[in-house]
Formats: sequence, structure tokens, C-alpha cells
Amino acid sequence: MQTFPHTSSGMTRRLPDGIGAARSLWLRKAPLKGIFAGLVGAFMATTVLGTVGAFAQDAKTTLVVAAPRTPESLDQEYPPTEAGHEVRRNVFERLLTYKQKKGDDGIFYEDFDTIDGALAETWEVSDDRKSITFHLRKGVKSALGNELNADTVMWSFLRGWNMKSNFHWYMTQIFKIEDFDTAFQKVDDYTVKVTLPNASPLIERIWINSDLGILDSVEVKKHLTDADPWAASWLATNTAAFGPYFISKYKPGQEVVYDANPNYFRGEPKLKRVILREMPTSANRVAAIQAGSVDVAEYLLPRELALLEKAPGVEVHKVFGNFIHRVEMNNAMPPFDNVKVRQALNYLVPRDEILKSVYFNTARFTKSPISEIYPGFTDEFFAYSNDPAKAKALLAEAGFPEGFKTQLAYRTGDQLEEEMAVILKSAFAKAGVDVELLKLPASTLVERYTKGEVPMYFFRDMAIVPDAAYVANLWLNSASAINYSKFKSDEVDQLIDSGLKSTDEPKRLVDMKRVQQITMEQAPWVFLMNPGYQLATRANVKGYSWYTPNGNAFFDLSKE
Amino acid sequence: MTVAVANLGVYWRAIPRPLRIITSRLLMLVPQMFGVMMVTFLLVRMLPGDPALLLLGNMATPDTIAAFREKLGLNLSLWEQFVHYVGNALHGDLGVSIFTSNPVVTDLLERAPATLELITYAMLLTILIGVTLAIISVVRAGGVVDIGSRVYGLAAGAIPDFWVGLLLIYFFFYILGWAPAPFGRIDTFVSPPDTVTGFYTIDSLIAGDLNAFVSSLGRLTLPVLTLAIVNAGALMKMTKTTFADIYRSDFIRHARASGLSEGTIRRIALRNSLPPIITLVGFMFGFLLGAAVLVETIFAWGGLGQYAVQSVVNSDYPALQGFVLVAAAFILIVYTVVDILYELADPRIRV
Repeated sequence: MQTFPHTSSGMTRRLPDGIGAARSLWLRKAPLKGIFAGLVGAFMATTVLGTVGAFAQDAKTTLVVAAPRTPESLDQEYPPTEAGHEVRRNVFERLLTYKQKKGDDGIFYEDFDTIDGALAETWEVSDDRKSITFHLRKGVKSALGNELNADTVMWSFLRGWNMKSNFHWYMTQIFKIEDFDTAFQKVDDYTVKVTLPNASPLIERIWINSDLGILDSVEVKKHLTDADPWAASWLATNTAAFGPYFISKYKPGQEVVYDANPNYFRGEPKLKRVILREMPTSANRVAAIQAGSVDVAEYLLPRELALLEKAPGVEVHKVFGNFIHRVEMNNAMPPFDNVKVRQALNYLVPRDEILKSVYFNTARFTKSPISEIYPGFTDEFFAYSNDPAKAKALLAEAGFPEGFKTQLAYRTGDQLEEEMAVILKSAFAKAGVDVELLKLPASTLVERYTKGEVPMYFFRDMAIVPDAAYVANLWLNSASAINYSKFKSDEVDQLIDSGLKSTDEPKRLVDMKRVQQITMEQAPWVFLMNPGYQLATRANVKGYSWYTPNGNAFFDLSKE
Repeated sequence: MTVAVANLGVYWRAIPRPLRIITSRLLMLVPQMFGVMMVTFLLVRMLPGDPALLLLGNMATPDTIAAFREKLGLNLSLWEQFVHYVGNALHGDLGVSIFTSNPVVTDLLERAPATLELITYAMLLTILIGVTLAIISVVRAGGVVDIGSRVYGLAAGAIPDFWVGLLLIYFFFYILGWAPAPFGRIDTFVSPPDTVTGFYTIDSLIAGDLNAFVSSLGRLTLPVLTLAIVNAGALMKMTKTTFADIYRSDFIRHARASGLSEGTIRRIALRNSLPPIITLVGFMFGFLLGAAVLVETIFAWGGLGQYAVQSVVNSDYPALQGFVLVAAAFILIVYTVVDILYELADPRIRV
């Protein structure tokens, strides 16, 4: 749900790569007359001297990343954000993983059908799918040289359980575990067993999540205090784990420095150091990557990406990942309690126009509540063409032949949502629906839609577990705390509940297809776009890969 | 008793006047700061928005929300929260920022020098440009500088700082390549000097690290220029008006008739125009602390303004309160200094 502010200003013209040439030109020129020019000259001269040394370093093994913001915390128990997920991807290693496969576009993806061992070399799931036993890889060491064993894993579980945050959420909400001691057992020094009260189809998949990394408990335990028995404050700004990198410098608001873990079990990373710089203005991230000052620029606007695609020396990687961007309607609030009204608004969306003028064709239509890249997705129930006549007829049937007045909220600083809000306002007006636009700061917006006070609001989210029942449970189950649109269908609830318990995979897929059908007919949201995930890199950066949390994996990258 | 008080009075009056003013003002700071603390605490809590809900996202369940609110102390009553806050603040603990995971004091200690370095140099350059242009255009009325400064005075009030910043980046970084990349206070590959004052330019000189000095000076160039270009206009216009009045006043005419050199006359005229200039500079300095935020954002400066805006958007209460405290303290100090300088510049004034 956390989105980066897409701040931007119109300054994305491509520039010649002639920095060096321009410098020598300046040095040859006589300084201009006048006090003002003299001042500029003096400052600039020092500047020239200052940057020469910086480029002299061999940068083959150092990657500089321009990011909209630094992570809020380094602790995997901190609520998930996009910047936080990136830390987890690079610093923590998990018990299981998906095998990688190369897509037709040359990008490495996770193969959701093939699970592979990570810190657990092998694992077994009991026939009743109520327990999983992990056999840990031997000789795995953290960056500090401490070895992985059952005790480190058990302590990581214990901390996660007691922090009552992410780990605890997965274990209690998804696995329904109630008691730590009966669920988690050390079998021997390299074997750990987890037992669930009920069978779960997700018993393997959950352990791939980037929130469930294993800590270097030997190091972490050095930082426990009476007031802080789980090292919450130390782990918020320090890392100790078994992933490819550790963080050697954490300066929030400025930069984060990742250094390679020489003991990483897959081999030492090719990039020895990754420097992530906070650059809040997206136009400047564009400028920096064009000039070659940074190797990677994250979270750019579609318009900027369209320009960068034509720029020499820069490559734009595009993935149609798991984000779903929609307008959620409060299904409990009139007139949105009437399904015909919700359908009518879906018929009023000029999706082609949004795709072209807001997304510059970097997005795709959202045709299901399930991410298109996930198993079980189907788009066959999407029927919402741009059809104002049909929308008017539906509104008339619903008792609103003249339309009605309502509000649509979006977050301050989100340029895309603002552009879409304006387009939707004029599109809805065609059927007499008079929309007042509300621009609210993020935390105010969230508070207001949580309390059910806003009739319509933009919502951009992703679920990192590639399972249709898991995704549907988050957003469509009437019992879910984050089903803010208050969508309620007894059949959907029942299908989701059985989908979370059933281990009959073909039946789950059939059930989830039905869930998608009902959802598309019931239209709890105004379906908009899959904005995808895009990353701009210099052309010499190779090996781009995509994972469901959308954070970049620096281990996979290298520089030529 | 009365004798003791009388004695105190004697001692008090024996202290030199400027020192007396400083002491009484410093004493005044304590209740003022407490007042600021209380008002901001209450006002910040009245803002809409809930950080727990914003953060938890997918993980929001009644349990996790309650646990998170407890962690932030939001479950206590407002009064209890305030008592906790003041108690901790007296021990130098302003809480932990929700969005950087650092103690707020650490964040502020890192960010305040960044902003202060930026706006101090910006103010110096603003004064240099504003006052110089004003004097030249009065002394050489109708000259090129005079006409140019009129155009600039008009434009400077109308152009926004972020736009100037972006233009400067466009020309000096993109097109000409003279300026360094517009992000941060020092080059990515240069390590910042050990903190003494927090000003990279000064600290690097203390450490004898010429490379860091040159790099940090280079990074300062464009943001300082941006702020100076935008703000020097107002200072110039005001200085011009004041200085022009005095330059044509009777006592200057008298000085000229007495055969004093032009240089001396200009110095006397400037000295007599100082009080309003000092007031405006003091005001601008305090104003820039928060107003530099757009320039900070564009140049990824990692300063106080950015911190404040981010904390408002995210409902990061501890960070926001910390910022307001620092800003209030800074402005009180600046105004105190302004008053003192004012008195020194104009001996007629008795504060």
C-alpha cells in the first residue's frame, strides 16, 4: 500500500554525454566580468576540481542506485514497504526460494511452480500437509562469520513470534498457529520442524517471503538489553543475517551502503558495494542516470521512462508484475451499495486514454482482482469497455437517471493518481456523476478510508505471495481487516476460506476462477491499471531480475 | 532581605548592558521553549492521520494495530503522553522517528547542520549580492547595474526557487557539465569529514581533507546560488530604498560639503542603513530554515525541511515535534542575535 511519491518536474530533455568536453571548454574560457559572474566562476572552478577525483575510482564493482527514499527501518519486523522489501531481499536469506527462469524479455523471474532450497538444503512436507521439516545447509556463514544452525533458526522464529509483527502475522493469520512451543521444534543441530494445527496449501510458499529471513542470532544476542529483549532498536539500524549483503552505513534520508557478504552461500556477490542514494525528485533521478552519475534509477514516472527508452547508454527494464491500481468504492455506502452503480462507473472509464496519456503504454488494464502474473489468474470475466450509454442505462435502473454527487480521494504528491483523478472526473460527468476530488496526505487518506469516510479512493497494492487464494483473502474476504471497500459476498468468503485450507490444488484453481467471476460481476472497485514495475539502468548493468516484493536484487546484477 | 535584593540589583546593573540583555533573553528562552513544546505537542496530536494504519498496510489486523500503537505510546491518554514526552525530552530523548527508525535527536543532529550550512552560505551570498547591487545602483543611478537590478528585483520576487534550482541543474549539470550531480552534500565516493561543527566545508578544513572540502563546496554551489538568486531580490530592493534615502539625506550632504572622500561617505551611509537590513536578514534566515525545503528536495540535501515535510505526510509525531522544537530554538536565537546586533548598529536604541 505504501507508494513512493512520484514527485516530478518537467525537465527530462536528453543531454549530450559531453561532461569532460564541457569542462575543458570552461577552463579555456576567460572568466566573465562582473561580481555575479565572478562568484559563479569561483564556485564552479572548485566544483570542477571536486568531481574529477570522484570518477577516477574503478566502478566496476560498485553500483550507485538513485532511490526516491531510503528504507524506513532495516528490521524485517517493520511493516512492509517497498524500500524495506529491498533491504530484506538483499540482506536476509530465507529457508526456501523459487527457482529462477529467464523470461522471453531476458529478465530473470521466479518460477512459481518450482520451489528450491535456500538456507534449507532440503525439506519435507508431511502427507497431511500439517508439518514441514527443514534440513539446514551446513557451513553457511553470515557476513560476521557466524554459522547457521538450528539454534539460529529457532531464535529467529522466537524473536519473530514475540515481536508480534510480520512473522507473527503469517504464523497466526495464514497458518493459524496458536502456541509457539507446539509449533516450532528443533529436531537436531541442523533440523527444524514446524507443525501447523491444520493442513495448509501454503505450507511451503510462505517460507519464501522476504519478511521471513533468518537472523545471525549470535551477533543479535550481543545487543539485547533488559528494556529491549529482542534487539528491536539495534536491528532497526543494523543488520546481521545470512544474505548476500550487509549494511555498513545507514543514514536515513541520505544514503544506505550495502557491502558484500564474502561468506554468502551462493558465492560472493559480483558487486562488492552498492550505494543507495536518496533523490526524492524523480526528474533528478532521470538526470543522474542520463549523465552516468548513477547506475540505477528506481521508481520513475511513465513519461520519464518513455524518454529514457530512447536515450543512449540507458536501458529500461519493464515487468508487468503484481501491482493492482484501482479506485475502491465504499460498497457499504449509498449509492455504491448498489451493484449497478458500481458496474456503471466501470463502464465509464476511458482506459485507453489513461493508458496512453498517463502511463505512456507502460501499463496494462487490470482485468481481475488477482495479479496477472500469478497462477490462477484469468481475464475472461472482464467486460468493462468504455460504454457511457450502457453506464447511463445501468444508473437509470439503479434509480439515478440524473447521476449523483460523490467524492474521490487521492494522495498528495502522487502525480499519476492526480492525472487519473482528473480524467475520471470528466469521464464520470458524462453520466451525470459529479465527482469532487479530495487531495489528502497519505496518513490522512488511509485513516479516512479505514474508517469508511470516503466514498471512493485510489488504492495501489500488491500481495507478495503468488497464490490466488492468498491475494483474494487480503482484499475480498469480508473478514479481512484491509478489505476497506467493504465488499461482501458470502460465496466469495466461503470459497476463499476453503481455498486457504484445501490442499486439492485443481479444485482451488476452479474455486479461484469463480471468485474472479463473482468479483468482476459485483465490481467492488473501479478496475484501472496494472502499472507494472520498471527499472532504468545504465546499459552496462546486466542480469536484471524481478521478485514479487518489487525490490531489486543486487546479487543478480553485475557491471560490464 | 530587601538589602539582598538591592544588592542583586547593584550586581545586575554592574554587568555591561549587552551582557544583561543576552542573559535576560537566555532566561526567557526556557519558558518560551516549554510553551512551544506544549502547543506543538497538542497541535500535532490534533492533526488528522494515523501512522499505525498507514504503515501496517497488508498486515493490519486489530492485534497488530494495537501492538503498534502501544509501541508508539499512542494508547495512553494525551496528558500521559505529554508528561512522558517532557520527561524524556529533559533527558535529551525526543523519541524514535517512525520513518527512519533513528532517535529523533540523531536525525536532527545530522540534518540541522546540513540545512544550516546551506542557508548560512545562502544568506552570506544573498547579503553580498543584495547589498552590493543596491549600493552600486544608488551610487551610479541610471547606470547599467541600476537598470539591470530593477529588472532583477521584479523577476526575483516572481520566480519560484524550485524552478530556478531545476534551471541551474539543467544548464550547469546537464548541458555544460560544470556542476556535480545534484544529490547530497558530498560526492558519493568521498567520505564526509569527522563531525566537529557539522558543516562539511569547515570540518573538512579542520581534518585537512582538501578533497572533501572541494567536493562539499562544489555540492553547495547550485543550491546556495538558487536560494541567493531568489532571496537577494527582496533584500536588494529594501536596501536600495533605505540606502537611497540616507545617501541623499542632509547629514551626508554635510559630510560631502566637509570634503570627506566618497568611500567614507558610502561607508557612513551604509552604517546608517544597517538596522532595517539586519532585521530583514534575521527574518529571512529564520524563514529559510523551513522555506528551503523545495531546494533541499531537488538537491536531495537530506536537510531539516525535507524531514519536516516527510514527517507531516507520514504523521511521524516524534519527528515533527523534534523539528518544531529545533526550529523554534533556532528562530529565538536568530531573533536574539538580531536584537543585539541592532543595538550595536544603532546606539540610540535602548532595549
